[in-house]
Amino acid sequence: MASERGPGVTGGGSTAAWGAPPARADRAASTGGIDGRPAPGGGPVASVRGTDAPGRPFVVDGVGAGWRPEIAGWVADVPDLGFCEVIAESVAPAGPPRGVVDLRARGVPVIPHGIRLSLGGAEPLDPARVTQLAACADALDAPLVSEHIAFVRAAGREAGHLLPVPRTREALDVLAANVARLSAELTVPVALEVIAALFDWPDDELAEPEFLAAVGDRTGALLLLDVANVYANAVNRAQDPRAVLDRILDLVPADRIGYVHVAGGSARHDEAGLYHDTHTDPVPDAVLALLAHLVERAPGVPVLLERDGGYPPAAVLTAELAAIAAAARP
Amino acid sequence: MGETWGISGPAFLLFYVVLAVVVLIASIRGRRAVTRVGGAEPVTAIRTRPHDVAYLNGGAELALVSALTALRLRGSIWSERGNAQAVPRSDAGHDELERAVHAAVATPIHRKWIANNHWVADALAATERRLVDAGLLLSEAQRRRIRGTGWWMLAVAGLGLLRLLAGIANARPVGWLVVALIAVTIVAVILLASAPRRTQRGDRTLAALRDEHHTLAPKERPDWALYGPVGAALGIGLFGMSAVWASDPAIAGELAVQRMNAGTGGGDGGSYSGGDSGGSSCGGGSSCGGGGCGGGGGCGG
Repeated sequence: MASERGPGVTGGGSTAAWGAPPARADRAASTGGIDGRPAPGGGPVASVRGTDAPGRPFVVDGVGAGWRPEIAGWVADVPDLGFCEVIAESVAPAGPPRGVVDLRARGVPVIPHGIRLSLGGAEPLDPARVTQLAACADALDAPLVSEHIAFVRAAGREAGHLLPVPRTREALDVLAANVARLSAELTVPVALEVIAALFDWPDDELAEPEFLAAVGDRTGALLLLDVANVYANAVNRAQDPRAVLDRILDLVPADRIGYVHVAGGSARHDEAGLYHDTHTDPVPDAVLALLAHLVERAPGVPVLLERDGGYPPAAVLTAELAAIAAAARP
Repeated sequence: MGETWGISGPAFLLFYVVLAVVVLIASIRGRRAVTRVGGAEPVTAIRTRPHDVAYLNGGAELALVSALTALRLRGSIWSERGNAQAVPRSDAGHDELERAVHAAVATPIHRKWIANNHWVADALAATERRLVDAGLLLSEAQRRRIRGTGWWMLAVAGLGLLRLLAGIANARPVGWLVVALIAVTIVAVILLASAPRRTQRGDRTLAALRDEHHTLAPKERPDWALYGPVGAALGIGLFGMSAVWASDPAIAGELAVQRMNAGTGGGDGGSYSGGDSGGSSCGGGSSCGGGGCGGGGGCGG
């Protein structure tokens, strides 16, 4: 498997003892330089940023995958990879990981995905984190950046998790101020992600769809619509995921959706049967069905698979991405 | 009581050191020339046989670790404290070395002794032959030729010894000559005893494949469930034992794999060109000749 992954059959020296180079290597060779790096202009061509072309209202296009160093070889080999996402905190703007640089050289857009900015936190944003995210976006020539509608620290304590903000007017003020602060340093749009929350605050004033619409209005940010999180939040509150999604799409215009996340999860039977958005399990069929419904209402929306662990063999992950592509591009 | 052989001590010492340096340079060039026979084009097709890559990089031990790891990931063997045992009726795979190892561990055996099994020994010998035939490993004859360059330096040592004996017979001071003679002898012994395993083409093949498969480098902690047994074996082959620790510490512990890389090409590798192992000890000898002895009277016999 891995033997078929590497781009570039470097010239000459092919010896009978090891047989003909594998077929996939031939494909890669057509896009690869002699040093194994893809030649400029080669490779599956992804859409470029800021497409204003008719019928393509989205900042990125196609189906993408979250880039992680542990699976970089798989991400690099995804056929027709539309775009990818990299954890912003893991990238040194001065020297992004080689796998990411290679994808950029192939023309694949890379979105820095922040997880520790705490945009929903009542405390001022950490200027160093804002600067890092902006530098990361510049270094990767990113079409947009994304973060979460969440907070991760309070009173100097790190939660280690994405915590939901109360769905209140006050929280909207906080988010608006923090996003304005962030946007001031960015040259690209921000997309804000719906998180999966296992609880609600008692002082919530708005339902999630109304809150998401209000966040978009107040901050001007795009929505990073995680269908797995919509699903998780709905099933854990005994709501109909499809109805919740419909309500979101009623309130948030399709062109305000930056892109869509899909991820796996599982119901843990030992904990009151709550569904957990683990990112280490396969994507459930119910989430794929929800994605298909979303795509009916927002055709052409870009979709990205997030997988953070519990990796299956490459062929299985490729099949999962193909299933997502089938749901997203009927 | 004239000068020994009609040459003053300092003059002889200077000549001697210059001669030693010239012979050393010639030896290194001669050794390199042997490693360059057959060209320098990488043979990256060996990626289809990851255990061959491991053998090229780290010899039989690394090839066995990569074969055992592939078998272990496939669920065909159990391992514990360095001992391996085949799972009854498990799949031995298609690779010759893996099949031989699987057969060898039908009863539990420590991985250090697996190479003694005759099926395994045959498979390893076949691997070595393939790599030699492809011009990636040096043949025994080539290694002999490389070590043979040490005789030139030994001749220099012989000349020094003659001068030393003559100097002593002539009752001349010989201290610096002894120092130079020891240095030359050490270099000669190193040249006679050491030869690289790989050709230049072998080194370049490893470097090219490490570059091509950089996603398997230990620093990325590549996920072996995703890359599968073949990817894991290639990672071990290219990056050495540390790949096991980086990706699967449990297997590393089970197979009792050493944590450090024992010079089998870890990180970015490819720079080891072989044949100049005497180079560094030469430094000591020549600096003695150049600096320490120039002014000193009566130092060369």
